[in-house]
Amino acid sequence: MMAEEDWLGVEAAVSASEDEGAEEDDERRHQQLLEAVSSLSGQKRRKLAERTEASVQVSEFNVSCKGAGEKLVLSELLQPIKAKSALSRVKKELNRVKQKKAVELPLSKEEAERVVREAAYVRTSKDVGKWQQVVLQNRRAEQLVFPMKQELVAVAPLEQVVSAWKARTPLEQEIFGLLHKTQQPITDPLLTPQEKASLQAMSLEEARQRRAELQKARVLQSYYEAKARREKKIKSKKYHRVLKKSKKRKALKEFELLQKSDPEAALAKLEELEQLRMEERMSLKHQNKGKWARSRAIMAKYDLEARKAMQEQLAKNKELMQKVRVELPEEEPGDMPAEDLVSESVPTVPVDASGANPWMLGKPSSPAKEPEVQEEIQIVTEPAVAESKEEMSEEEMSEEEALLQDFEQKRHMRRQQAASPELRGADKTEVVSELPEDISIDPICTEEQVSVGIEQPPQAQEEVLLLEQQSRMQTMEDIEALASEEHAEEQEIPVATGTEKRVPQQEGGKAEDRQAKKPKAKKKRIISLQAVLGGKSQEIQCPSLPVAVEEEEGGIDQRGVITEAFAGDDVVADFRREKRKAEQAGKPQPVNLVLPGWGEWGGTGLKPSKKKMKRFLLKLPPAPPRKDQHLPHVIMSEQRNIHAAAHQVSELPFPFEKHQQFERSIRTPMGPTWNTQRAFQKLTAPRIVTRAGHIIQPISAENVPSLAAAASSGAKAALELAPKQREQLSRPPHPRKRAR
Amino acid sequence: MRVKVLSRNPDDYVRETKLDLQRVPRNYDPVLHPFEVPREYTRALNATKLERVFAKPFLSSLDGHRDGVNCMAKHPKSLSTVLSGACDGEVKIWNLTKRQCIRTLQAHEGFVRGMCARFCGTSFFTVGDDKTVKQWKMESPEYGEEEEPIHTILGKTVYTGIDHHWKEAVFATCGHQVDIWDEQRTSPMCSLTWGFDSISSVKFNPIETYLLGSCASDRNIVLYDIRQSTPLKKVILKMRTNTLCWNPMEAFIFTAANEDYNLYTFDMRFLASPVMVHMDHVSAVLDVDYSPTGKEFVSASFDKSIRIFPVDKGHSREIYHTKRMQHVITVKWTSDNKYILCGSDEMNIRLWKANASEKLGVMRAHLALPCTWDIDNLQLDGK
Repeated sequence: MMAEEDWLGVEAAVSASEDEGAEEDDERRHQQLLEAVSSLSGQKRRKLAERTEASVQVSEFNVSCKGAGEKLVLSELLQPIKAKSALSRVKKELNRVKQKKAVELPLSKEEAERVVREAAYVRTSKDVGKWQQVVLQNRRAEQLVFPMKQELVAVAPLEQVVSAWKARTPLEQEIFGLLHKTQQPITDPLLTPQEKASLQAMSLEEARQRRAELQKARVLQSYYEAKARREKKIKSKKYHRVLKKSKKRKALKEFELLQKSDPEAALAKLEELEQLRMEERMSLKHQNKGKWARSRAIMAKYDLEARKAMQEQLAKNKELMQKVRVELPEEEPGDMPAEDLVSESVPTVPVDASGANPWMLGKPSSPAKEPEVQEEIQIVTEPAVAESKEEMSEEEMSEEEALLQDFEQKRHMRRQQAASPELRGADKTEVVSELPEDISIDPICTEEQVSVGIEQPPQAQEEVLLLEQQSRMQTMEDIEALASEEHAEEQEIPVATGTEKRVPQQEGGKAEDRQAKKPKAKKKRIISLQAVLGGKSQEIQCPSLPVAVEEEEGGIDQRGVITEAFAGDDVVADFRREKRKAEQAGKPQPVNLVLPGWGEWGGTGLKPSKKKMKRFLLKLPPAPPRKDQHLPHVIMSEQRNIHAAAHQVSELPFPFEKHQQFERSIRTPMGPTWNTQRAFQKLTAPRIVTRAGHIIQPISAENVPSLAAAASSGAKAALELAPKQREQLSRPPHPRKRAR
Repeated sequence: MRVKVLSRNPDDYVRETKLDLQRVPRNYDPVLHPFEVPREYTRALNATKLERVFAKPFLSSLDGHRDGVNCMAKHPKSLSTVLSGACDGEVKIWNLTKRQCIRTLQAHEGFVRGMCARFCGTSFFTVGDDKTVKQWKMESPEYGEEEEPIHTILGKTVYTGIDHHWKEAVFATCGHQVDIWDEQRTSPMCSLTWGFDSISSVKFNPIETYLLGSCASDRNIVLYDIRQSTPLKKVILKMRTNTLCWNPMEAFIFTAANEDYNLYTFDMRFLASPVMVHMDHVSAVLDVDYSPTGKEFVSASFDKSIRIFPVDKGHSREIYHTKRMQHVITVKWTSDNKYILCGSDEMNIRLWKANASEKLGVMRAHLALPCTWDIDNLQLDGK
């Protein structure tokens, strides 16, 4: 072993002596030597695996190439593979990898937090910013009354009180027992179901309407009653006879009519009559059993009249007892008014029952019925609210229709009138009002109309034109009619001038163009138009704006532009004027001590004598020379009072926006000497009013009407957010999947 | 013959009773009343002087604590109830109308660092040096019942302040971090940190109730949003801020009481510079509380005085101090805007008028008129 070592030492010395260029060669040789030596010993030596790195920088991530600092390029690695087709897949993969961009590094924790904070701050300050308006308003308010939300004197609802309170004493228990027995509601609604329903059913309007209806019905009823009473009091037999007959006739006629128009209803009516007859049969009213009939029977022997009456009654009895088939039996309205009523209401009742009320069906085309009948129907149908309502609406409908018809007629009439030249005078204004519209078809019109015309898509424009065409035709006719009258022209000229003023200049060119196209007929008719156009064209001849534009386009230097822009104000001259004014103001004014009427006659129209004027008009000595006398660009004012300055404010106090406002507010006296009691109290009213013993809560969004809506939604969001945040906090961070 | 005579309506000149004032018809023509400016000036000056003459703000002193008063809390529903916590861990509940202590309880060992009442007024919370948060009933225990907190939460570190949410069952404590607690749980819902210094006070915004402000001893004021459970923004001042208070009428305005003798009013949307710096104190400002109208605030200072500042003015309108009052540690403005309470080192709570020259108590009609001034009412009266 020692020999070996010696050997090695010699070798090393030799290798060291040699130059650097042959080092690699030496190493190889050394290796060979070592192998040879090891083989000499005969023992199999275990070969130690030796790893060598070619680069200086050793990293587990980077594949490094041999030069230090050089980067490995993928394409270099790929070069040897190029030829081999078997590796094409790998190549593709690699290419894909190359194209992909590397994912950016996640932000550090601090940075991420900062971003979150920034976002949250921006959001929160925006949220809070919604109060800005309210805050400003409160700061500016003349007077704030706290607490802001006025506590209403809370009348605790009875049900609350009742729920908290229990009946203890026997009396209370008894009362409660009674209440419960009668099912009087004690708790919440405090209304019986019926009351509640009625409350719900009717609004105030409805109730009013209904009341009006009822009132009307009642009035009608009372009228009717009065009438009936009056008629009943009439003693004349002849009158009654006539009345009866007429009634009979009427009933018959009605029945016939009914038979024609509505056979079913007629049948029903017949049945009703049958019913009446049957009742009559049962009642034995006309069977000579009544008091009157018996007295008549006694009288019948001697009195012809009485006998006749008897016979009549018997005949009637027979009539009634007979069964009626098809024909209408002669109905007999009895003496009693009750019967009267029944007989009169007969035609309506069955109709009602059948549900097809002829009145309800009533159309304007059907012949109008007698007012009496109408009234009666109303009375009868009043209790059924819904029906009556329907009726009302029907009536309204009919009324509306009638109105419409009326309007139609009127319109028609008006048109006719318009056509006839005699009635022109009345319609003059109408024509005038239509004129601008007329003109608007032509380019000359008010600015608004022009702008609308420009903005509209061509189709719509056409439509407008078409529409207006129609109206124009009308008006043209009108104007034609007008032409006969001289004063129409007089009317039109002022209108024309009015439009002329409103014409925008830009429209001028177009207007001229179209003027040429315009048919001559129109020109003839609307004489004013020509006048308008003539006036306008003159205006166009001297426009100021387009000229300036041209010049600018031509290209004028900056200075020229500026001088042109400030052409109006001559600063230097202004300043000079101002200074002259200040100088004038600084000169002492002569003092006039003349007393008119002193030592001579005075009065209106009399002037004090020249002598006196000369004597008492004091001329003050001239003021000392001004300090800015020789400074042409300076005005020096010596008005500032240092002593007063101490009491003056340096900046405007908060609510004021202009110094004039502040000065005015300072100047107006506030005291009760100069103001009425009320004004004084208003002027000195405190900014803040609080009430003793009332807790002032912080302002809240619910109390501010402008914020109330937003607040409710916002609060919800906050509540929803909170639990999520909590979860996030409590949950451990999501475990990352390991690569291996 | 007809004789015409002058006739006047007696209603215009006859008094209803002889106690009424004589009616004097007046002519308001300014020509008849010259020199209005000088006369008004004199009157205004006299009024100002009289206001000073009648300024008697001190009402009473509530004594009973056996150590300096460290914190106070208002009852949210009762104007006459005030709670105070002392440096020996004692909490007292006071009745202001009787000016008496109505209940005393030993809440903590060591200081009572902070206290706040629940928004419904049924219970209150205290935090102390013994690292606990305790919830107490507002009513005193029944006869034979022991004085015990409803809940006790034992924390890991000392809590230095507490504030309750204005609408929900949530409260916030501060110490090494700001913790948001649900009343029902014994561990915080979330903890908000930004930096690692101890936080001296935390306050909920009374209007936008999800907002929190805190001030830490590393001279910071930090705002938090509990909806997103994240800090929002930080303001670093020259010196430490002791407490802050939100304006109850202006959601984005708060005022910070600073060690550098000044108070700073900030708009939370523009924190780059304060809206107003209020200076007048001659020592560190220890506490601040807004008037419920949001127009003024009161500050307590180490210089043994309290001052009232208008929100928009840089200087105070009033200074209250007495010979015996030592460093004022805590101050509160009552919720009816009438009184100010301050607790100081020398174990007393003092009751002051918020408006020094205001007349209190029942007043005769003509005196009461200016106090109950209300334009609408006036119009009603005047028909």
